[in-house]
Amino acid sequence: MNTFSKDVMLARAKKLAQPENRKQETGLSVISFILNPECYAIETKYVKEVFTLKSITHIPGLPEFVMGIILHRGSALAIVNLKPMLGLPQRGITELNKIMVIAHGQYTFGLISDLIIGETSLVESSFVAIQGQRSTDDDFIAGVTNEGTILLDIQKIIERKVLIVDQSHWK
Amino acid sequence: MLDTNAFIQSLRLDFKVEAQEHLQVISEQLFNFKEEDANDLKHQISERIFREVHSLKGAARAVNFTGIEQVCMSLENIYHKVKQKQMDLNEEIVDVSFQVVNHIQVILDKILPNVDVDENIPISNLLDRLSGINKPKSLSSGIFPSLLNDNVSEVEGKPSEASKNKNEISEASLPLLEKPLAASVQNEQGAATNVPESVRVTMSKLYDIMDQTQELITFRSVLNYHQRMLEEGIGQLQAARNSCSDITRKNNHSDQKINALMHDLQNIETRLGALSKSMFELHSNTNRSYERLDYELKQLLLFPFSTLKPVLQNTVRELCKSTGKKVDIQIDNADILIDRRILEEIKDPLNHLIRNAIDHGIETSEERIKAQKKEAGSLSICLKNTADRKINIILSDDGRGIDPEKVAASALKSGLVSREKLDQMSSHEKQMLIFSSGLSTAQKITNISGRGLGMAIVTEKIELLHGEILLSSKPGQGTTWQITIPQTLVNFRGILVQVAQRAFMIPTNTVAAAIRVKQAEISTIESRPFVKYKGTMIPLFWLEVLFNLSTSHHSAKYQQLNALIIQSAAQTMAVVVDEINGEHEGIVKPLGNILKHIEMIAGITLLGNGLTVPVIQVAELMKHAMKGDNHHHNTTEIQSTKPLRILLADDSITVRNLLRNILEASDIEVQTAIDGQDAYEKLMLGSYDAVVSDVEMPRLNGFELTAKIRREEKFQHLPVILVTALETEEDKNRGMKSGANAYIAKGSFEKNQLIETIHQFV
Repeated sequence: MNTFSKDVMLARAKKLAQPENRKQETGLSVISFILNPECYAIETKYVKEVFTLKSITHIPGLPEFVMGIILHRGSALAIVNLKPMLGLPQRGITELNKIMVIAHGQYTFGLISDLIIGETSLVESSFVAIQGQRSTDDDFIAGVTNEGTILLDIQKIIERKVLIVDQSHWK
Repeated sequence: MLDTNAFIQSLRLDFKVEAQEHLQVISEQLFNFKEEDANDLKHQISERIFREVHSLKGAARAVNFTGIEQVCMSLENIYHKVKQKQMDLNEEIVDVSFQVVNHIQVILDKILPNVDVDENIPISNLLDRLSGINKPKSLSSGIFPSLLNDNVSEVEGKPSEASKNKNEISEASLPLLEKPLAASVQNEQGAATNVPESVRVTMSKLYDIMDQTQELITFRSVLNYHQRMLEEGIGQLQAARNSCSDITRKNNHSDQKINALMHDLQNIETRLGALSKSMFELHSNTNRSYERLDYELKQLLLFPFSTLKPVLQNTVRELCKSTGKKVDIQIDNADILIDRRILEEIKDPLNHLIRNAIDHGIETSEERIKAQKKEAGSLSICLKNTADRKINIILSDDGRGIDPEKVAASALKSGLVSREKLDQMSSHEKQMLIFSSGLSTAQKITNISGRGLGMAIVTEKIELLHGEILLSSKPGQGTTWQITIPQTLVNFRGILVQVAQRAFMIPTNTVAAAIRVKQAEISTIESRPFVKYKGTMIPLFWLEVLFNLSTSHHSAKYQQLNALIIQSAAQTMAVVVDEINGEHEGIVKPLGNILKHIEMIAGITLLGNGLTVPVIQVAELMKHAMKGDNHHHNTTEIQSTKPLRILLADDSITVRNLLRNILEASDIEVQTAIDGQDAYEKLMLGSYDAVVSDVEMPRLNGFELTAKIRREEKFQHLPVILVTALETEEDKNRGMKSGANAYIAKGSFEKNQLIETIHQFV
């Protein structure tokens, strides 16, 4: 190795060994997706798997937000459509067949969306304040970025148990 | 912080398993104790308990359960003193030990994955009681100090014998969990010297493996399906080749090139044939492996009934304490093996029957003596293997029995039966009313039993296990329950039915018969439809009405209705369905963890063709049917209106379902097709008032489908409506050119628009 390249290498090594610029914000890793017409995001740590829905079993008596059930890896997975809860219009035909398997604690369900955009990272400074009238579903929203991506608060959604359906009478 | 929390949580799960075993051994030892036993037997018992409590204490400390640790320490002190002969093992110590076991059990039950356990149950009472015993009573230890010392030295003088004893005990009371495992996990060749003969596996791990194994059923049936398709393809290829050679023969000239081509085709055919054959073999091999694996796994889950013994004995003990009655419990043949999951499910029903027996059946000592019975009531549980691999559990008591008149009176009071009906009932039939929901013969509701749901729940739980419960009771002499349950979880069997174009499964064990009912055979009583079955009139319901499914139905088209006679908890009714499609085998899976309970649905099951179908919870269905105004299915109305029939083609399942829901909501009958080709085939077979189709589809797209439809003479005027994402003028023109009547863009789609468009053309 000649001296020149050795110098270059040393300089690079030095640079790499420097601690990262602390001022740069570490972003929140999220999966962003479309629920027509809006763009939403969920923290990556809750998303276990992504796949395309092929068939679904309808069950009478389910609340509006559960579209049905699929058999996934040997057990039943309820397919949840957040549109009615988020007050999104049911207008227009959308594909609505991309599933994210969401898991938190002992609960697992499939969240359906029109399109899954992919993994990105949201930095804190990109969040903007929400003003004006807020509808009830705002409870489940952790924040909105200046690009209009709405970050859902999965922990809250699950812990408030709004998705849990229990119709048993013997309690 | 969060991580250490998660770590402690996972440790606590391990602790649960370990503590459970300690508690089991302690309970067993406690049940062995009898006041009148010889001292050295008592000594063995306390020795054993001392060691278990000591280990439990250490384990509790490791996972930060200070409450458990404190209680254990206190109890350990007591047993230490017993060991040192400063105290005698007596009823009081045994009782407080039970209290400790129950206390810890309550905390253990709270330990679940991902749950932060709060072990802070008030323990000061328990600790007070423990320390009360712990304080040496000055009298007993003060009077014979010399004697005590003598005893100690005597035991210490024979160390060899003591240690020998110790070994024997620990071997005999190996944790129960390990026995069945040890038997089946063992290496066939006898295992290498250093390999342990048994391994500890958590139940959840085993269940995971079971789940994965069940998954193989799907692969098996997919394989079978593909092989059949391949076979079919070969058949078609063969037919095509034959007609090809017919043509050349007719044309009477043989072309070299065509001959060579035909030869190639034959080669392909042979190769595909070989492929099909090996696929068939693969399928049957898979089948065999699966059956074997399934069987072996089920063996792993077999546990002796005796694992329930402590729980049941404890129930009896507690009840005797709270009611002041004396009851001896005897459990025979407890070594019979049963699937652990069944044991788990049968525990509550058995506990409930025991509660009933002690609370209502067995009399107080005074009453018993008056009736010239033994002072202590006796309760016996006896297990038997039946010829068809089932288990009989016979639970009997020698109490006052079930008074048929009392049952009848309260059934009358709660409106379950009419007086006329009661008058016709035999006394056994009256006793059987006890299985009905909402009935309790208890004069007052105690906190033990008497709320009236008990027996209905017991029956339901047993039916869910595909079991059966029988009752025989002689007033004054006692009651005997005979429960029959399968030894291993049987694969679920159900009757597949079709209603309003949806499939449902009805468990075979609830179906008594399938019948056909002519409209003329339906009679109405109080304006509710009934049908005669085996000489009695039973109520008739429409399944689609019970499930509130779309009201556009077709049953009126048939001269006869298909109905299933279903039974649960001594009730019978008939349900009308559109089609009955035979019996299928499978496994019922729960609906997933966010759907805790959906009324009238027990779970889902997987069919051979890969479809999942909801399984009906018949007991709930019947309850729902009886309470509501679900009878009415106005048959005359159906016959007068003929709904529109639409053929709907779209390759996206979601869009299909969305459109179908919209159409059905407007009382339009919908047949769906998965692409243009499928739609065309279905169109040729059925009769439809209009076609609604997507444009972009595999095999045959919407434009091609429309063009093909228009080429048929008989479909010249059939309305075709295209619904599509393509919104340019050019596409629209192309759609119109192909012969479509209307073109709706998906982006601007609204429900009413589609319905209006359809009505415009039909």
